[in-house]
Amino acid sequence: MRTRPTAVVLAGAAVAAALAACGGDGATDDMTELTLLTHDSFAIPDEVLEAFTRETGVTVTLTAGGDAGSVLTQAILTKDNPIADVMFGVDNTFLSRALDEDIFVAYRSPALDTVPADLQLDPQHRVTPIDFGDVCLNYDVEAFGADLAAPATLEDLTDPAYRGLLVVESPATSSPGLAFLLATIARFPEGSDYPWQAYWEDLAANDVLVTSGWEEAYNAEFSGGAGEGSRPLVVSYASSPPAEVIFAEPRPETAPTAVITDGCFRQVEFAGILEGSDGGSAAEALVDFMLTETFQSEVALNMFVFPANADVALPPEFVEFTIVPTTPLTIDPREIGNRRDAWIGEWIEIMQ
Amino acid sequence: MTRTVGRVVAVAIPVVFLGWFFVYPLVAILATGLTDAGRIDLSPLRDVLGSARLRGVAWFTIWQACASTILTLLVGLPAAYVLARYEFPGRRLVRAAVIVPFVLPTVVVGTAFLALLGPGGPLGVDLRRTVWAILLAHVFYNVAVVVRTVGTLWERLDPTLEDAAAMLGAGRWRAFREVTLPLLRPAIASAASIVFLFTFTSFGVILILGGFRFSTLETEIYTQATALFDLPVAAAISLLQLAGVGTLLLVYSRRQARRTVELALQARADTARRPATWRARTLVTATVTMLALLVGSPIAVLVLRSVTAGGSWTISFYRGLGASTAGALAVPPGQAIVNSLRFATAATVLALGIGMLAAVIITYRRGRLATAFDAVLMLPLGTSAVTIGFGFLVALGRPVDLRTSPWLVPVAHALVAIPFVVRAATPVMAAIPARLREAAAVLGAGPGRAWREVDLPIATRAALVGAGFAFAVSLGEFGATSFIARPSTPTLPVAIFRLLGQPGAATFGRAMALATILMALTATAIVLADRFRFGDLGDF
Amino acid sequence: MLEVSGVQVRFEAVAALDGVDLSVPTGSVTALMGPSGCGKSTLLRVVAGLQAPDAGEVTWRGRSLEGIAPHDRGFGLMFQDFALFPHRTVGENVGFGPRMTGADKDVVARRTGEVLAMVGLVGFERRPIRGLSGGEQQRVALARALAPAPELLMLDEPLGSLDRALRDRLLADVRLLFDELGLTVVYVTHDPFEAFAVADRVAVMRDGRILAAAPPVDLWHDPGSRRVAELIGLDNVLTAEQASLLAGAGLALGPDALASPHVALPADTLRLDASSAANAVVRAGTFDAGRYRVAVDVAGIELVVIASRLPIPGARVSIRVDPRGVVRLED
Repeated sequence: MRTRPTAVVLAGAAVAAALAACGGDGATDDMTELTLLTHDSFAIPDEVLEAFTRETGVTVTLTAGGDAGSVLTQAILTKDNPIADVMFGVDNTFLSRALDEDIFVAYRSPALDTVPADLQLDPQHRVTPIDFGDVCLNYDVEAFGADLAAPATLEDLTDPAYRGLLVVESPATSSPGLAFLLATIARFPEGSDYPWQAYWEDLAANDVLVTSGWEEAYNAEFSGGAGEGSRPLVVSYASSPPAEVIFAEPRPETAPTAVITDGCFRQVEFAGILEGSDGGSAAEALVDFMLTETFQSEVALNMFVFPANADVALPPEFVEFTIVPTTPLTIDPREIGNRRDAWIGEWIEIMQ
Repeated sequence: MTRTVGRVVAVAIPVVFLGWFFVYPLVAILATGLTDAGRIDLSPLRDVLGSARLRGVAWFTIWQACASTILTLLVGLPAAYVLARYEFPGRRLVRAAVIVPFVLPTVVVGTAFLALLGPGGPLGVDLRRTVWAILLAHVFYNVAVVVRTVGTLWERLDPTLEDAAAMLGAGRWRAFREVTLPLLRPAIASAASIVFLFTFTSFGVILILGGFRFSTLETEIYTQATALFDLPVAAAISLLQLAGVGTLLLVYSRRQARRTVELALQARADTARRPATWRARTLVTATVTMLALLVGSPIAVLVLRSVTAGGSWTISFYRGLGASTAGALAVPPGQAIVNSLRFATAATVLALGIGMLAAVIITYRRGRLATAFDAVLMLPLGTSAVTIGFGFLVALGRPVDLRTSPWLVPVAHALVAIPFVVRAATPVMAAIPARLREAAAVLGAGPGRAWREVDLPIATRAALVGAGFAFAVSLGEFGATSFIARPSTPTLPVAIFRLLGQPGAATFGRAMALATILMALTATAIVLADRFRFGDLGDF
Repeated sequence: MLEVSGVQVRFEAVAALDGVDLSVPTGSVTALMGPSGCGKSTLLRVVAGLQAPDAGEVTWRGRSLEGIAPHDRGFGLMFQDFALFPHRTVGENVGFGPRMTGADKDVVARRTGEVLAMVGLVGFERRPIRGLSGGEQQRVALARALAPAPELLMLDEPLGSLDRALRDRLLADVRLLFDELGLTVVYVTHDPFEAFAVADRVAVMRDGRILAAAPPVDLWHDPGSRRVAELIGLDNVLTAEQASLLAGAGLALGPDALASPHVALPADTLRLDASSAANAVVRAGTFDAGRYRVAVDVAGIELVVIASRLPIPGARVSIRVDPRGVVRLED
């Protein structure tokens, strides 16, 4: 017993020393190190970030903190002592929340010239659009054909011919689920003759299946591609069909799934410089870098989103197997911020 | 003088660890959530208590945890008995295999269970998105806690006590109830408390297998904090969850402290035998079969999916893991394995060291403070992962910024793993007769030495069971880790999660392959740990 | 009447019981005696039903006990390590058996008090097991075995860990108890003294077999074989050759003695007698309940002699033997 405490104290001291050494990233010299806070789906190859380092001499350290919502909450909680210099992953569905909390520093990147105006949702440039994705209905190509054509519009989903064929995700727990709900709200506005509440009641009557998350919906309930399920219609992304082609062995000639362009909702993903960090010009350089061809050409194949930089070409699989919706549904981020809780709450009541 | 200092330090270490890495962040995040413009505002508490929906959620959380615990005990106790008292081929493997579920992220288990419980599955009836799916998944995950915690004590019970009861006219069942069960009670209570806490804060299982209709306090906190950005309500729910769990734990610790009984602990070699009668053989076969079905079939589904593509066998998924893949996994899986092992080792060492010290405090310093300490130790298991994760952010920024330190991950894992070490070690420690230590003392060993020579070897074996859990928990930990800001060193569960988040047959297959590797790693580590002997003390 | 016939028990390659035959008449006390590892405890377990024999049969009152579970046999067993229930009090331990028969609380309490009084532990009902002395634990274990009034009572080294004085006292008490209650008892011990003091019949066991079974007096005077003689503690077991050497040294053992392969000379057949012709050299002596057991050397053979005083080691003495006490052994 006598030796044990000593050993443990020494071990404890060692741990404390190591902690002290490892911690304190935020206080290092801003000229040579930047911390980038992202969500778990961020997947840009190391070589790309190394290219940035070669260009600018600044190393980028990634810090991940869960899904996009969790990451935003973390940024908000630490706003007076931020844990990173730049944050990537705010999207338009909670943009207004991020802006209200005042966690970003305004910066207008010169590279914004290459980005279409409809993606620049913050006129004050507190955040910079980096990529966008569309949440669309996907369908299993093999399930539809001469007997039953794939649905073409949102309204079609309430048709008894498609009864029991659709699986969607809950907006309370899933980002694409929320996007789909917003799409229906945009398409069937409140107060109109056929508001979104009525639409969802019809969907419920048509035996729609609701899961908590995208993984179960797509892998376990959807029948397309590698899916094990029985339902040929699912809420997913416009980039899913190309993924089905790229990640199938052996590689097929045609995509097993396809996108229904009606009812797509646009999700835009932003990056921003965190207020209170000492990143300075290096942080600005990183934001610029994220809009360059080097970075933007990787987003499609690694994160399965579309690059914001309009000059960057899409990979051939994207061109061939999906469509970038030209008129996706959108809702003003401010309105989303104000009404989201109420909408989700109402949706839950309808669907219970 | 040095002895007293040593004792003080020994007590201080677990207390300081808990205080700094758990109590402080907890208080900080709750205060943050419940503060409005500089003043504590408890109105969210009132809102939460007043909401009929949230009360319903709280009720569901409690009763599903109770039901899960009872079901797990019903499955786990016979299994613990068979594995403790009988010797049969494959026993060691079964004992190690039951812990494999611990390391599987719920996302992966979800797909397996959805396949098994769907209309096309072996049961023939669709249990998906029902309470039964949740309960069965909970049993799948937690049966190891009962089997290994209760089993360790059961192995050591003197079987002559049951013989004595039989000679006095007690039939087998009566003898079990009157003699064995009361003696096993500390271990059963330990196991039950852990299972209850785990299922109480269950997250992924509820979401994936329960579907969107079921929500628990834990999922509510998550939704409120990260989807609705309503921190005050999240904090209020968290506080109430904590209050409920804390009270339960205090009651539990008090009862445990009063009930310890000294036993003559036997070596397993003396108590285990081959099943001799047909009755014994049937029992062993039935139990092993049940375990194989319950724990084995979901695992089998995963393994199968990692080696089949479109109806035919293939190892392309495993081969594909080595190749760099465009897509979600920007880091090679080998790296993920190394990261996972590193974190798990660090977490286990931390948990073992601090857990043993804590177990000593609880066992030998009876009293109200020790009881309260015991309760606080268990609290991390019953606290929302979201709360802990965010608490770190709020509290650990100053004086030293630990918030993005790689050590935070093993610390978070250790917080959840320490209760396992403590709960595994204390029933055995408390049962060691003082007589043994006295005998050592008479033979010339001072108290510390006596403890080291007598109690420590016996308790270490039990603690290693806890360490096995700690390792497994850390390997598979995904929930709390995902709410901690951490350097981008993906662990296996994160890598698997990423692969599953990407459409494509190959990514799905690779996710299954990684999950299989994760399971194999765990089973190997546990089998090795089980064989570990302290010095040359044989079974002890 | 308990009949054990041809019982065999094998553990792996070792035969713990190698064809055991034993009869225990109703109402009698049979001691089962032998060195450790001879199979005594295993035999008890077989009779108790805790161990199934690989061969052979056990019958009670003419009926075979095969397939009857231990808790249905109505036998009592007092375990060597007591096996007291640590989580129960003395009273709860003792009352366990009566409680299992379904007797109601007052009956159980009364019986518990009775039996505790029998073993001299009046008022011990509420005491926890922890903190009892070895002797008290032993008596609680005995009381617990007695409480359900078993038809057959088996005791495994019941007085093993007690000090000599307590053991002797308890031995007498216990013998009285058996007679009073008219119990059929199988009493297992490694100590010949205990066996002879308490039993109506002594069975000597070794290596899984019963070598001899007879009333104590008969067994003492005619053990039959050399092995049994050694086991029951007869002193001075001699080969025929050694006997003739002694005869040559002046110690007349009688004609029968010289014709047997072995003889035994109980220590009290040898005395120091100055008038004898046999000369011996004293080696050592020990005090034994008022007398001395003296080891002497006669013609190179060491003998134990009883003396009323302790001679000095190395002294020359004369010893004589009473030839009527010489025990002939058959092998």
